Amino acid sequence: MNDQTTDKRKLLNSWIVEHASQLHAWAFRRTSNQNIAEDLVQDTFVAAFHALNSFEGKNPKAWLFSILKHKIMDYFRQKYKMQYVDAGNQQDDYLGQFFNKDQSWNEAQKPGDWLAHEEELLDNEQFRKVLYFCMEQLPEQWSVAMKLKYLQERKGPAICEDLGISQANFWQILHRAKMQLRACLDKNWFEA
Amino acid sequence: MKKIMNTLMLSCYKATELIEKKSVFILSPVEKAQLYLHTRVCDACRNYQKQSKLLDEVLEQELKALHEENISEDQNTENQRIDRLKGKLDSEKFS
Repeated sequence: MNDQTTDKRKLLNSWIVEHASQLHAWAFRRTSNQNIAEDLVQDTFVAAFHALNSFEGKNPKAWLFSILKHKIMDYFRQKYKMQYVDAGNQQDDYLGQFFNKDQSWNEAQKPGDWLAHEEELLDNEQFRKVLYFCMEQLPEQWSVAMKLKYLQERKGPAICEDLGISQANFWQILHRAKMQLRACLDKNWFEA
Repeated sequence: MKKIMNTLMLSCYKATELIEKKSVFILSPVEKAQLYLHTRVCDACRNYQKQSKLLDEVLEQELKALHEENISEDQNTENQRIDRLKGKLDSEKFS
């Protein structure tokens, strides 16, 4: 190992000490998964290591964040595309379970009244279990879209940009996810 | 009657889609009017709208709480992660 490489390693190590925690927290806020956030930060530093010659700026933190940002976008796009094929094929069948051909509610799926139960929901341990069960039943692509909606400070148009999808695609996914989640809760909680 | 309703107004499918669209984007004035008219006369979609909003609140709180829980990890976990990161970088050959 020559001296130049050793210097680079030292520099990278000092950046790790200074910035890795913040980078991780940022990646975690967007992916809500510690392991994925860790992988993305590792990828970021590996990429920085190899691209160090092209780093001319005075602000390593901003540079690392810009690499991480691209890694996160790649991650979502890849994840999104991988499952997109399935969701597309399911689309027609999927709508058929809730709506008739004329797009009116299927009688058995019509939302009834939940009103009597609303107040107790948030503190109810059993309800939370059912909620998590129902969340897990969603195709991963749908729950990715949902989690982004609730966790991101970024608004709809920005999320679509991150995912590389159209706005119409985004709300259609949310529609299907909510429809399925609502029906699952209906069956396992409100009617149970 | 159902057929007339569907031509004059949104279908239930479209109405519920707009309800979800509204939670992330701004509806156009026409869409707002269509949704308003539809939910005035359709009990099922009115229920859906109420429940959809309720689920938004519950999920937002729940996911944020889960997130906070995960983020407040101990120093030890963080140090281990940084060690793994350094190890990963050490194993990288400079090209």
